[in-house]
Formats: sequence, C-alpha cells, structure tokens
Amino acid sequence: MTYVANTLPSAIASRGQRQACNENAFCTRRDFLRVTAIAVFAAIAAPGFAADATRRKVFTLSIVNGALRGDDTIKVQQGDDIELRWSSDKPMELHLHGYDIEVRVAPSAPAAMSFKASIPGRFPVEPHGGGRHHPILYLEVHP
Amino acid sequence: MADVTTRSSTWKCIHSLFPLNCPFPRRMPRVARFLLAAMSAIATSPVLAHGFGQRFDLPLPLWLWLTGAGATIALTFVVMAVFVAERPVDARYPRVELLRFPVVRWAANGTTVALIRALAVLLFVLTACAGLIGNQDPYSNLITTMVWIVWWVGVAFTCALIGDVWTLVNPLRTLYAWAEGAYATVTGGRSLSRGRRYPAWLGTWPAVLVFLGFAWAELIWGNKDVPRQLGIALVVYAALTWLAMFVFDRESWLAHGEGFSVAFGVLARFAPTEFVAASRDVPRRRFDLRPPGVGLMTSRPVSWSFMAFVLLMLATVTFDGFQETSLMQRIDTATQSSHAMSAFLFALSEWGFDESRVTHTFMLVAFAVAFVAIFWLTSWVTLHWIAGRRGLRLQGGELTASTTACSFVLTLVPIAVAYHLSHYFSLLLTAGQFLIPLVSDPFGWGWDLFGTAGYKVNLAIVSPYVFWYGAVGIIVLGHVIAVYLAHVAALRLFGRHALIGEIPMLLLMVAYTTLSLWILAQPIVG
Repeated sequence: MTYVANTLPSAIASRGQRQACNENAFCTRRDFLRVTAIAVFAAIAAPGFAADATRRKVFTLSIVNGALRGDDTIKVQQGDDIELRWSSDKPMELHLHGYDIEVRVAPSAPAAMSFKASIPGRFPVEPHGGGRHHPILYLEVHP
Repeated sequence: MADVTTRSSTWKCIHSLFPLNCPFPRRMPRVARFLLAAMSAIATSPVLAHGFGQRFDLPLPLWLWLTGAGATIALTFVVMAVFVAERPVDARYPRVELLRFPVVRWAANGTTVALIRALAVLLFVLTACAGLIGNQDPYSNLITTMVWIVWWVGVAFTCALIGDVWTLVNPLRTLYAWAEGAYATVTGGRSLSRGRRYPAWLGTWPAVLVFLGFAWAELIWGNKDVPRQLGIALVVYAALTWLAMFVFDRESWLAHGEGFSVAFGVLARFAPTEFVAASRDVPRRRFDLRPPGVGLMTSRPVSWSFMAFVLLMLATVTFDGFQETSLMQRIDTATQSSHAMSAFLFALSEWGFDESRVTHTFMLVAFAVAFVAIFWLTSWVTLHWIAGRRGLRLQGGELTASTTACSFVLTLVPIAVAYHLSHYFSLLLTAGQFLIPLVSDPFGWGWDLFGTAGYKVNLAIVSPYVFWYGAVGIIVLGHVIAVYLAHVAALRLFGRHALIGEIPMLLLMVAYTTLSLWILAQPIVG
C-alpha cells in the first residue's frame, strides 16, 4: 500500500515566520513577540487551512484470492481527496458503505473509487454478490 | 470524480446489510421487485450486527478511553468521600407533583390518553401490515425502522430519560383492554380473562424467556430485517401475549410475562418522572417529577427472577457491542478452527444452523450466565469480606449472598443505561432519519403522501467529537449515579459497615464501566 500526501500546515507556518522577520530589520523583543504571535496564530489556523486545501491521497490496493494484501484499515483526514485504486485476481464488485460507491474490478480491468472524504466515520468496503460479505477494508475518516 | 453529496438513487444502500436489495429501481414492476426481494431474503447476508442499520462510529481515541477510565476510578472515591455519612438514608426523595399544574392535568385527561393509545394501536397495525404485505426491501419498508430504531432504541431512550411511556402506548395492552371492554358490554359485565391465579413461583421468569428470545432476534437472527419475517414475529408475539392475558389477567401478565413492559419498566426506574395509577393504597393517581435514578432504590430485595432479568438486560446490551469487536472475531475464528468445535459446528450446519450464529448464540447465553455468576460471587465475597474485616457475625439466614445480590442489582442499571445511550445515540440520529421518507411511503410502493419520499439520510449529523465526548461523559455520569445508589443500598444493608462493605461492589462497577468504555474504543468490525 503506498500513499502520497503533501504536508501543507508546516509549510505555511514556516514561511509566515521567515517573511515577518525579514521585513523588519531590527528583530527587537516586540518583533519577536509579533513573530511569535503570528507563528502561534498560524499553528492554530493551519489545521483550518489544511481542511480547505486539497490534500490528495492515493492508495493502491490489490486483492489476491478475495483478501486484501497488507493492512485492512486506511486512515485519512476529513476533507482529503481520496483515490482508491483497486486491482484483483478475480472479478468482483466492491461497495464502499456510507459513501455508497460501487465499482466492478476484474484482473484485466483495475478500478478506482475517487471521492472527497467529507463524512467522518469508519466505513467498510465489502465485496458484493454471492457468498459471504466480510469487509475487506475499512476506511477511517478522522475529523 | 464521484461527488459524495449527490448520492445516487441507491441511497438506501448506505446502511446496507442487504446488498442484493440495493440497486432496486423504484419504478420496477412490483412483481419483479417482490421476486428480487424473495431471492435476497434467501441469500441472507451473514453480517452480524445489532437490530438493523449499521453504525459508522469511529472508535474512541486511546487517550480518551484512558481518561474516561481514570475519571471513573477517581470519581468512585470522590463519591465515597462525599457521602461518607454512616447514617442510613431514608427512601424518601424530593418530588414535584406535576398534576398540581392545570396544564399537565389538562394534557393528562382521559380523552388525550385514549387518543394517544388509539394512535399507537393504529401505528402498530400499520407497521405489522407494512411488514406482511409491503415491499420486502428492509430500507423501503416501515417495519424495520419502526421496530429496531423507533421502538427498540427510541422507546428505550424515552423510558430511561423521560418516563415509562411504554405503559402508556403499549398497543398489545390497549387492544386487549378494548376487547375486555367490548366483551363486558356484550355479556353485561363479565370478565374476558379466565382469571387463573398467576403462580408466585413463576416470578418474572416468563419475561426472562421473552427477553432472551428478543435479544437473540435482535443480535443473531438472520431474518431480523426481512419485513415479512419481522411482521410474522410481531403477530405471533401479540397472539401469545393475548393468550397469556386471557388465561391469567392483563395486569399480572404485564408485570411478570410481557418482557418489554418489564424491560422498559426497569429503564423507567431511572427516569426523572414517575406515574402511579390510583389503587387501593393510592387514593388518586400521581405523576411526579423526581431526581433521576431514585426509582432504582429499593426498600426490599427484588426477587431472584427479577434480578436474573436485570442482569440479562445488562448482559445483552454489553454483548451487543462486544460482538462487533475484533476480539469476538478472533473467538469466532478460534472456535471454528478448533478441531472438536469445528466438527460439532459442521454437524449442526448440516442441519441448517449457521456456524457463526451457533457460536454467537452460545456466547450470548454464556454472557448472561457469566453476568449472574460474577454478580452473585461479588455479593458472596462482600459478605465474607465484611465478616473478615470487622469480625462481624453474620446473623444466620438474615443476610445471604442472594439477598445482597437482589438488593444491589438495580444499582447497576445506570451504567447499562449510559452504555446503551452512548452505543445507540448516533444510530438513532442517523438511521432514525429513515422515518422521514417512510412516512410518505410506509409500504415501499412508490407513494409520496407528504412529499418526503425522496429525503436523503445525512450521515454527518453526529460529528465524531460529539460522539466521543458525549459517550465518555454519559458513561462516567452513569457510573457516578450507580456508585451513589450502591452507597445508599450499602448503608441500608450494612449500616455502619457500609463503607467497607461496598468496596467489592464498587470494584465490580469500575470493571463494568471500564469494559463499556473499552468496547467503545474498539473499531467496529463486520
């Protein structure tokens, strides 16, 4: 399982701090306080920005003999753009509950579920159609 | 990219336990839909979850679970320290007579009560009919949402938080009372019931059986969300209840055998209101406001069968959460891979029993037995603990482990009520929304009586923070109330030895509360 994500919050915070100090030639105590205040504000506000900013996460998931290889739980943040790329050695239908997305995956035809993780919670992905339906993956969307 | 906010027409699938039913086009010919429903009823999904609907709650974060457990232990000592008074507390408590107020008197008049009862009967008939003749997709039929969400979760919450509403609305009681009235009018005042004396030794054991059957149906039965099966279960239970009311009489069966009247009655003891009908001892009816939980204080030990009933309720509520943890899944795997067990289970599956259902049924009964055993053992330890610590001679026969257990059992109820609330409130708020489209289309026939048939359920209505902090707050609060009640019971039972004597019981309460929190901290697995 691989995933790609950029870390916006720390980038915002460090840039804000550096600019503030460069504009003022004298880094007095007042400046220091001002910079600190900005840094603190940035640190508090950053998660807010991060929720708005598009964070794209791509997961590559391969199913072998009806079971997922690797960890069965994926954790993401609310607001992230998620892409689940499925491949399977057998044709099957996958259903992400809660978000209610269904895809058909076959050995020759990998499939993808793309969506914005807008609802927090823990959502199972179940293979549908005939036989048992134990979830093969859980998607945890954390607030 | 699929937009989540604009869900497809298969929105009813979001809680799907019944995958084959999901892509039902609403405009499909009725015959075809019925055939599809019948097919999927046979290919029942083996997913085991409580009643109906699926919870998508995130598990409690570790730090919150530990904080809750820590607060539980700390507050236990605080309550003990605050209420160290060694004098016995009398059973009286402050009450506000609500019938003093004209508004309440006006609202509680005979006509209003009769109207509410008639409405409840109408709803019962509508629900049963929907189950028997309506669309067999569980999310398009009123009966599944009505039984598992509105009635079992909603009425239980109302009884615990407001008052014994089940006695007011119970449609089985109302219908039988109507039949009694009609019979008396026709025959000139003869009683419909045969009036056999209810045998005292039977206690509330019939209610224990009813509740065990119900708990099995709620937690394990594969057809619990097949509308027709649920409708048949409803009608059969009603018939059995009326038969028993006919043999004995209405009120004694409601008190001993109607499992739901007994169960909701236990929850209503926690409620902040109390209704007492006029009788020989009570000159006129009373409707009082009281502090929550005081109804659980008893002046006399309850009967053995009633104690078993309360512990069965507690055990099923805990088992409900437990069977969704990965520990239960590991137990399942272990039993199925053990040689002797798998041979036994295979033999049973030849007879048509599902292997995991057999395991879960066994676990449910084991939970109930374990609850009774552990509780009785704690009571036994309590007595010997006091005797050992204080050199107290237990007077022969007066205070036994059984009387101790029967005196303390109701003090555990607040913890169970709190766990029940935390476990279910997000489900009530999400799956409860199914009622909005169902009001317009109760039979799933494509009607739109009030223009709400197209309503889409909003899953994000309960934020995880509300769920987490709410759940932990409610459970810790329930624990504090339970500890206080146990303290009062200990004072009454052990007098000046109360502080020492209550320690085993309080340890049990801490363990029970911590177990409840632990279950909420486990990720829900299929």
